Amino acid sequence: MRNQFILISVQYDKIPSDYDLNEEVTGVLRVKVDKKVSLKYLKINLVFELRGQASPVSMPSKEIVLVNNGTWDVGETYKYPFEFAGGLTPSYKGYNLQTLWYVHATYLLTEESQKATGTYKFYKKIFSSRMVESYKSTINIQNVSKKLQVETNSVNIGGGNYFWVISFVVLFFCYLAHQSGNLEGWGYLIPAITAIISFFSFGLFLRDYYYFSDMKIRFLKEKPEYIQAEILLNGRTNRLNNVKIGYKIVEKVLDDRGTSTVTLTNDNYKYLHQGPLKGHNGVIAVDLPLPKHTEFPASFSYGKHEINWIIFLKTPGVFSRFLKEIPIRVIYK
Amino acid sequence: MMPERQVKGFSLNQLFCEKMPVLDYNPFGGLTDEELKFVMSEQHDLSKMVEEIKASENFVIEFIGKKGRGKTTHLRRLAQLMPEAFYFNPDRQSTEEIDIDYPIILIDSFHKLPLLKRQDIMKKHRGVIVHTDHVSRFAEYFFCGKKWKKYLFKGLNASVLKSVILGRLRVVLQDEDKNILLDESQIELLLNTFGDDFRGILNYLYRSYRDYNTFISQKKLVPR
Repeated sequence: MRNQFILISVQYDKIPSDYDLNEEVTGVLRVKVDKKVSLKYLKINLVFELRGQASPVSMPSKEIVLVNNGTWDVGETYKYPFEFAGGLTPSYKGYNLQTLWYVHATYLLTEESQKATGTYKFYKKIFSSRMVESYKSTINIQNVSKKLQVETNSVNIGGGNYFWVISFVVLFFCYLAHQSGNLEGWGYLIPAITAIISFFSFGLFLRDYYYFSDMKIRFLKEKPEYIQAEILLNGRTNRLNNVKIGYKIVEKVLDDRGTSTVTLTNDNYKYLHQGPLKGHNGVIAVDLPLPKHTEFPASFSYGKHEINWIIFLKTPGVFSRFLKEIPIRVIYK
Repeated sequence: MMPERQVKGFSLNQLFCEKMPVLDYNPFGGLTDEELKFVMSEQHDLSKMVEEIKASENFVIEFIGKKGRGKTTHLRRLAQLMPEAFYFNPDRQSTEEIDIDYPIILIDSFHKLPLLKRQDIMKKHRGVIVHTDHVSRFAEYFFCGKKWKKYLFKGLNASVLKSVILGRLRVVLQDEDKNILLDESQIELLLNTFGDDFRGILNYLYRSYRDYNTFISQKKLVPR
């Protein structure tokens, strides 16, 4: 982009999508001027920026001074090679926000008549062909061995007990009425059959609760391609029907533009497994493949903007479903 | 939360005359201060306002308008034009941080400050306060012995909307000379639906662009 009479351009050595996370970002910055100028400095930064519906947030990570007290003449093309160290997180295009990298060039002219600052952005999508995540910071045996929580839209245990007690009381009074001779013939059968059906229905629910309420998930090892995990069922069963396992990306952005402030959130689901799982001795081993890096942003928190990761596991149930959500922190290294 | 408004017959592709440019990011989101000066269209002459502010004392200037009409944008631009001013945003800073030693204080969302705090600032500060609000607070200025002036923010026409959309695209493209054509009928559609709700239009364009890019199609997989 041209600012006044100075044209600055950047050429990267590789096309954006070919950069690996640990690779240096290299290229050449070129300057052309329409009239002779002297400048105090020309510097470039490698900037990490979060953009979205809210105001952008930038974090300059590194700075290189290319010119310190210099001059640019008309007709010349000045070339400044640059190199930024690797170890970057990949660019991410989400729902409410996206994160991206760019090289940002600024200059300051010294002459009073031409005193000006110029600023240029050269966007660069940095992706990686391979990635490594670390779960160590938030996942440990303690926080994954908690009891499963009942999902808010499922039948809760208190309601189930109440149902069971009612069934039992109805059945008991049917028996008493029958014994006392107040109910003759088949009149007592309708409430009695209803109570028996209710009792067995709850039995199934109780069985689910018995089998799965103590279920735990344990992470054994993380690898570049997948996470090894074990689901522990306390030896009561070796099979889970219709289990769902996946990742959920939670984007949270504070849109504080103007006089109205809104928090924008979005949950983006990615399923890794849907269907039955089998195991031995109450233990089911499962490998959770990691999504492609382009869909897998690093965990991020800056001010009131966040990208959080959750591994979720849903178990089967006849009258209830159980959901376990485990927060994870994704770090590229 | 208000339901998202839909514009019947609007298509982002048609807005750009079937030549939707390839962009690095969604151009209709928030802007940095640096980008703001390339994009914004002034409803009021800010350079004149700067002169007025610098020549005044014990004075309040209020930017009044409904949400999304450009009050904060103008205030941010004013902060760029007057680096000596203190800029306060109640969503990002605590009210304790307001420094009344600055001769010029710019306050975004004045209504978010408690009444007593507003009174306290106005009584102690002898310079110029510029703030944004939805309604005029002339009674408060009167009780604090301040003179005041009101700038209204309302109204939006096709040429301003076009220049803002083009400005935003050029910032992303980093090319101020690029020739981009916009379909007039699509601009009219936006204005007929949203009126002068500038942010409403930009939010709608933001969502349209996001949905246009099918990257996040997996959102539809949400269970439950």
